[in-house]
Amino acid sequence: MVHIDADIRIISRIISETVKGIKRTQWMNLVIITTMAAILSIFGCLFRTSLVISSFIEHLGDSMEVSVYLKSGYNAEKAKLEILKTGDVNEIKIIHKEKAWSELKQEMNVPDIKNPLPDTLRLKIKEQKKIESVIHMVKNMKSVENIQYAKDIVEKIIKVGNVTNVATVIVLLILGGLTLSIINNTIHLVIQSRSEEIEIMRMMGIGNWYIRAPYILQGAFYGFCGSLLAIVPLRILESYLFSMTEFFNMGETPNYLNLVITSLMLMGVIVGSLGSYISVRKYLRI
Amino acid sequence: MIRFRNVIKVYGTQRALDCVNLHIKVGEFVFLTGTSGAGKSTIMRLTYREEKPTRGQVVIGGVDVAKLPHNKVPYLRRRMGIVFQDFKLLSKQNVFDNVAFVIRALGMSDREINRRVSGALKVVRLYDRLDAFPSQLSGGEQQRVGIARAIVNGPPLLIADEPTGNLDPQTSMEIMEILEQINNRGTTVLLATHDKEMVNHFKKRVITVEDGKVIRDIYEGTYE
Ligand SMILES: Nc1ncnc2c1ncn2[C@@H]1O[C@H](COP(=O)(O)OP(=O)(O)O)[C@@H](O)[C@H]1O
Ligand SMILES: [Mg+2]
Repeated sequence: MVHIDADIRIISRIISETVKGIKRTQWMNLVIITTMAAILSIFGCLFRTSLVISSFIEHLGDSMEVSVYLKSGYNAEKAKLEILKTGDVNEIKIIHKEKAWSELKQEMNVPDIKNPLPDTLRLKIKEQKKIESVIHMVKNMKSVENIQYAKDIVEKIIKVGNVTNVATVIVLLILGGLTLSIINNTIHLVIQSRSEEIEIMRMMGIGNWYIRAPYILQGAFYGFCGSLLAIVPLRILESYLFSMTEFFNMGETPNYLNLVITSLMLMGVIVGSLGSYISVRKYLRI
Repeated sequence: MIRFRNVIKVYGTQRALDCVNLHIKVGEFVFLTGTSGAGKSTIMRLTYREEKPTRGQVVIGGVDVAKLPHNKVPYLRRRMGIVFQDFKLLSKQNVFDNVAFVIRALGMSDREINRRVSGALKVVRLYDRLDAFPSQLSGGEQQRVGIARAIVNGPPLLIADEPTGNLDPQTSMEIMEILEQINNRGTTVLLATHDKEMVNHFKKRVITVEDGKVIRDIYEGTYE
């Protein structure tokens, strides 16, 4: 019990040291937090936009159908089962050639010849990413004569999706590195300005982590405040995106805002404390 | 309490200590004297493990400091108080906090902290200046805060490197009397100085170093 009490007191004193340290950093706090907020906003907005693009692509892929024409003499039901086995197809509709032919004859005046239509399967593919592999697989089936789908569009969609993903990752890495180095340098300055005090604490036998922890927490604080501020531009973007998804009639999109805000905060706090941790390890020699 | 065995300390090409042997027992009061550059501060820094010996052994309270891992150094220093010539107070903190921060970090309760800080400040006769900042104190008063900080955790050993080097003779005597009083309560004191008058006045054990060697070690000695 005595030990737990002591530990709690140490933790609360470390926190109050952190608060004191932040107060003493004065106007520099504002500069750092604003910079952090700017970077994190860019990150958040990009991330949010890339999620919209992904779901837009998803939406396009959903409404896309692939028509599979079967060779005559093969069983449509069997072909359907074979394709379903891949697990990547949502729905397969069989259009028997007799039915198609009679419908066609009803709709227009066709000469009375032998039914030239093949049995046809209409596939709905689960994810647009899977389109290519499904098409490849279906093409190679013995029973399949031909396939028809909007090839260009599918390819473009896939490309846009990939580019967005790669760009998001690259930007994320760059911004992460930038944030890391800003925090790292700030804490370096703070440590430098208090080197005498740190020296005295060392001589008095104060524990290494008791000296270091406030600086690490200070970095985490900057990341946290930066991410809080970054929510504002994110909210503005959200209202634009909302009207856009309305316009494209994309229906209910998942609540991405919470996901983006959570990752923003996590990134802020993690990168903030990591940046100051590196600084403390490098410049606060104990 | 303190034992140096054939200690050699080399800085670059400069040999600061050249085969020093020392043995200081619990409860002793020892003056470490010698001219400037003789090696007094080097002996002090080895004692509180700010430096490691180049060769030989430094043993403090049974612990070989060279073998002490980095993260255990704070534990060694908690068992000694260190007093500096330039006081090294935290200029932005008042007297109470300058003394209290040492034991705050150990997780003591506020009540215990109050009790110990008051006790230490009473020993140095500064209890009425709790709220003052270092800039509002005289040199002698600042050094007394430094001493209170050094003893607040009740260390068995007190190390003072030229504690009166920046003070006038009368103030120096006051500081010395406080240190003697602390010694009388059982704390071992090692004090480096080149103040002849002071050494002669107090008649303690005197260890004299010159050119990195111990050249004299006498009880109830005087400055030669
Ligand atoms: N960090 C250092 N680097 C190089 N030489 C040093 C260092 N510290 C002390 N010395 C040298 O070691 C010798 C002893 O110094 P010191 O122990 O400070 O003497 P004192 O405290 O007796 O005046 C001196 O010649 C000094 O120049
Ligand atoms: Mg010296």
